[in-house]
Amino acid sequence: MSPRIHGRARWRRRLAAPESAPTLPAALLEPTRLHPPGTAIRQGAYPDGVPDEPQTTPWQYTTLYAPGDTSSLAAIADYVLCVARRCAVGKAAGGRLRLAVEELAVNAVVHGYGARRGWLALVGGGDGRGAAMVQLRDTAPPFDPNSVPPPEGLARPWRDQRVGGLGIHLALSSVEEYRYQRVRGENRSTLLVRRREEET
Amino acid sequence: MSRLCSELDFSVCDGAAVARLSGEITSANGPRIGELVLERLDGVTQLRVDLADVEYMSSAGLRVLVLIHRRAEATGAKVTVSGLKPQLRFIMQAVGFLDLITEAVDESYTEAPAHGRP
Repeated sequence: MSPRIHGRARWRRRLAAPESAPTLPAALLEPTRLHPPGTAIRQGAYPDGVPDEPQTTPWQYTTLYAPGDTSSLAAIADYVLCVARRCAVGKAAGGRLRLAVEELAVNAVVHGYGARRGWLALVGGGDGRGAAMVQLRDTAPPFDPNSVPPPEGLARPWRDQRVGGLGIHLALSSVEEYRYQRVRGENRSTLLVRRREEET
Repeated sequence: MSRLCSELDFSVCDGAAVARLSGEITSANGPRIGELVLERLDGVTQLRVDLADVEYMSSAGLRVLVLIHRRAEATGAKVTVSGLKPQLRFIMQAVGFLDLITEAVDESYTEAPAHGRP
């Protein structure tokens, strides 16, 4: 039996939802598991202040629900960096995880939801062995970032550079592992980082 | 040096301009920062983009750099970039921009041969 994830009401207080934002989709309220079934998970509340000590067993924070617009980026960054600190992956790897989550979140908001208002749900945690993980969920139309080919002509002169389209490439380049799933009308992106050798 | 927004200071003197970015450049503020810089590039022959105080940059910041360089190429202005921290080097490396930018290694606009374009 997977543990229930609480904390939604708390996050609703922190993140004032725009008046026009729809009610949270039922799918996003389903619990997220970052670890294989049967794994004992230490469930932790996302701390308001200084994050607690690094964990040596699998764990995950409560879910962050954020309105699907760019005003949520600061709160998303706080959450992801808190996950990274608790996993003790280091500043550089934490920054990479933040970058990857943010790029995918912005992509879901701008290209997935577009003019519609939606929500993002994040769950972060660690495996207790030095990996930091975040799962990002949205209810936008199906989109698998793996299906996007690498941008061409990165070495072109500036006049031939594309103005956009780098975010997905950056996101997937920033993490050690990435998994996409489409489950019950949701896009689920699970991202994992570890400290890299050059980051020690 | 005048503050145009909380993440951008800009100064220009005799055609030489400095755009000093700071804090976090994300999708929430990147487009506005790009507009503010581009609006001030008329008559500029030399621009240094100082990123020393930038703590974090997403692809929105890269878009700003692309737009600045495109405009500069069109007008013949020379652009240098300074103050690259490891996080910024990482993302610029990932998209190949390290090979395109001309990096200023000090206040006198000296170009770094490792990444400078001839």
